[in-house]
Amino acid sequence: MKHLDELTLFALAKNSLYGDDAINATLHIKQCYICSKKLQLIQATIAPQKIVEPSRDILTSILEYHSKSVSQKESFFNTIFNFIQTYKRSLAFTTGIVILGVALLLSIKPNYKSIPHILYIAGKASNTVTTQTINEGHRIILNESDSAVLVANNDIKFRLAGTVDLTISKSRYNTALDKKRFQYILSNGVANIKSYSSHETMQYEIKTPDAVIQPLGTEFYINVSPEGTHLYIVEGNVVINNTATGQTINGEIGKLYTINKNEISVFDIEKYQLQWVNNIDMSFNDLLDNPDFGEYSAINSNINDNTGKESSTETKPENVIVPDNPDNNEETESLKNRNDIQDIKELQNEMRQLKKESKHKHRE
Amino acid sequence: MISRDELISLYSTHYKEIFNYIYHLTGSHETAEDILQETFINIIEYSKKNIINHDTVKSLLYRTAHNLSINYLKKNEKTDSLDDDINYLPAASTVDDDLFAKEIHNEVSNALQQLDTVSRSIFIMKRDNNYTNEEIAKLLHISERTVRRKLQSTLSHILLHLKTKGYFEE
Repeated sequence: MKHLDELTLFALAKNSLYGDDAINATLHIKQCYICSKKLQLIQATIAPQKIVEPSRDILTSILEYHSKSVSQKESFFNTIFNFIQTYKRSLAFTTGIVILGVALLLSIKPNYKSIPHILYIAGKASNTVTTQTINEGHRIILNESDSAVLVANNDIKFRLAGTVDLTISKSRYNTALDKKRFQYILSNGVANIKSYSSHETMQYEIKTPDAVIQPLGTEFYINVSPEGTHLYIVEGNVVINNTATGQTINGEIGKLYTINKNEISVFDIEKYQLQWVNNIDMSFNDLLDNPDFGEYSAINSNINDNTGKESSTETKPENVIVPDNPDNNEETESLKNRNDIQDIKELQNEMRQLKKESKHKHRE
Repeated sequence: MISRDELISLYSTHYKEIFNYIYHLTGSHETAEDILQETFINIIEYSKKNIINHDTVKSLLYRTAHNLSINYLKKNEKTDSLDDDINYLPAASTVDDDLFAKEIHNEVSNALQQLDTVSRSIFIMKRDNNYTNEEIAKLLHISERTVRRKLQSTLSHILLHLKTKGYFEE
């Protein structure tokens, strides 16, 4: 006789067996002691259990937790936290896009390359011109016997003669003007400054201990000494600002301006009447009468950076060029291209004419 | 998030059933209380990000209670014996039958301790709640075939245990 399986016995015990299955199973139980005993045990096994209850008030604890959750959910920071939690993927994606965009903008920002400056230093006794590339932030110190021409950005030309202390400040990009701005700090000495460019890419000022001079396409002479700053305008417009008083005026052609701590004085005066103007013109006149000067080592010029540390490069042979020998190096090409010597010759001719006019006036 | 009233209603409807299920699964009254509380806290947390569906909330409660009980049992390795003071309702009214039923019940508890938690869950749900195999399969996320197979093996195990204890001979 085949015994009933456990599931059938279990169903029988639970009264969940119906139809022929129930009849057959009941008949079998009546005839089989083992199945009958098993059914009895399963019935005992599945006897209804006593319903147990929690002995403490769990609902109160749950409701307290619920109240805390509700108040936390309403707090501002929790709202932000939940927002971040919910949209963390979207936020990460957006942040990535923004970083990429900023990186792209930075990569296409205007070029911040240093404005090129070339310094030509000539020794009167040696017939030699040394050429040197000057960077922003460098300081040029000339001795009494030196003459030099500084060309900036292939446009602004400084003629420097005698004891000169000139520093080129580091340029800063002005986004509003879309121009580079920088200053030439002339602490001491005499300079002739000539520039006719409209300066589409840069804006510069001459700063002296007494004034800030902003040239607007012009030529002028400037003399900085402990007594003050003297400015003689040959051509164009110049804005003069007295650093001490804050006074600002527009300079006129053919007038001498003396700026000191108290005021800006104006004098009507002819150019040839100013000894220091004549001196610098004469200095270049003498220099260019005989361009083949002697040894470069005779020039005692020091080019320092802003820290005052001396640069040793300026006397190196590779920085020296002789204008008549165009095959020397790249610097020679540079000089040739800029027609600097030609410009200086033009100045020389102008100076000769001025001298003639001066002599003529004296005779009269 | 589930409202306070909804929570009270949910608790009142299901707490007894879930509590007894946890109690018979873990064998500890105190543990059953802790797990019952944790089950409803989990439901509150769940409701913060999900909508509570009243048709499936019972299944959710059972699954949560089941998983929490399993975690507890894993941590404690073995099930505690059922508390002595809380037992069963006797099937028969005679003193002899009471004693017999009490003995059987204790032996069944011992036999169940040797089984896995899913088998134990199925047996408890069948015994105490009269759930069908289909309902148990849905609650525990297992197949009906598994429910049937595990129930048969549990019953065989219990009968074998009772046989070794001398309750019957074949």
